[in-house]
Amino acid sequence: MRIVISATGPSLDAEVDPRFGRCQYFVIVDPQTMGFESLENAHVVASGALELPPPR
Amino acid sequence: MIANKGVEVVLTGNTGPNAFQTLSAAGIQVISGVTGRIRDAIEAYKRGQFQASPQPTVNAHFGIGGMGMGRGMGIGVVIVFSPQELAAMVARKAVKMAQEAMHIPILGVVENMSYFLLPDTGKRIELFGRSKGEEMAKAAEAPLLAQIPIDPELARLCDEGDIEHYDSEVTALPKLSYRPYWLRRSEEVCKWRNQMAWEFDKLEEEIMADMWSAYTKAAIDHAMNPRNVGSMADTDGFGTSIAAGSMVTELARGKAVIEGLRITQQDVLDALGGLPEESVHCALLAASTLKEAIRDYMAFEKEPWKRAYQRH
Repeated sequence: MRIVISATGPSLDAEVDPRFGRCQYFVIVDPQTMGFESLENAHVVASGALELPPPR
Repeated sequence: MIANKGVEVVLTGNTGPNAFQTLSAAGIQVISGVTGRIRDAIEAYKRGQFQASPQPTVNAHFGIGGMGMGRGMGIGVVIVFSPQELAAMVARKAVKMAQEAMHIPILGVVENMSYFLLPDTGKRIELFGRSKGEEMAKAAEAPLLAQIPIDPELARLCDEGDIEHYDSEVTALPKLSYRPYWLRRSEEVCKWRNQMAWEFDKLEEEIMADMWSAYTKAAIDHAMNPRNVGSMADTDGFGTSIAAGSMVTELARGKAVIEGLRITQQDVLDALGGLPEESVHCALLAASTLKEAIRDYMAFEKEPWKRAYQRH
């Protein structure tokens, strides 16, 4: 299983970012191994709501 | 993006309705209200301390243009459309989106390119099909603000930047016989905003009071009402720097230039009745600045031609 967390930095020692859509990083963690990867959020400075994916 | 990484759970502070819906639809559990370090949050999750959020924690935010509701700048939207069936269909979707998905007040409806008046006979021709203004206004629970004709005069004024001089019945606002949804809603928004502004003012006052409690009356007075600003030593920056800068100009005023050089950090501190430990350097800064200014002044006195090169 994997958990994604909105984060202020790219590591496990960063704080949880209160804003999901505008967080600095997403940290993806495997809670069993505590292995993780981080992704920079491309929408961090966007204004307004994020675009929804087109309907299928 | 998150869904295709094999993620099953999201831990975060707040989620808006869009993100919440999208994640829920993808079968991802959303847990909000999480704070602290990521490592600790994961451990807490493993111990089963979190419950899934049943709903988004943030009301809708709106994202049309840089001044949209997301920035707290606007109070609603105006739906503008033309009578073609396709355009009207898109506008109806926008109305639905504002009402149901985003709960944004619709301030009014404008039908553009609504008709054309034959200049000779005044006959009204609906070039793009039957007018849908009334119908749209009803759907939006908002007034029909205007049905704008195709008019060369309007186009000319538009190009010349004089659109406010356009004189026509379309610019007269309709009278309202009811209190529509958009009005009720914008009243709520205004009330909420006033409340927020009041709370921020109060918070600012408290912070200022807290900050100044460490300073003497003389220091506060000089910080809030700096003396001789722009005449000798320009100061800006934190309150204590302003206070010290202001006091040093008061000390130097009326003294011979050479005496000004003797004003020390201690003189400024004494005159202000002392400053807190962490702000003592501000007095030194002020005294040094004065010395520097006097040195500058004396240099120019000796070599007046340099004045032409003085930088401002």
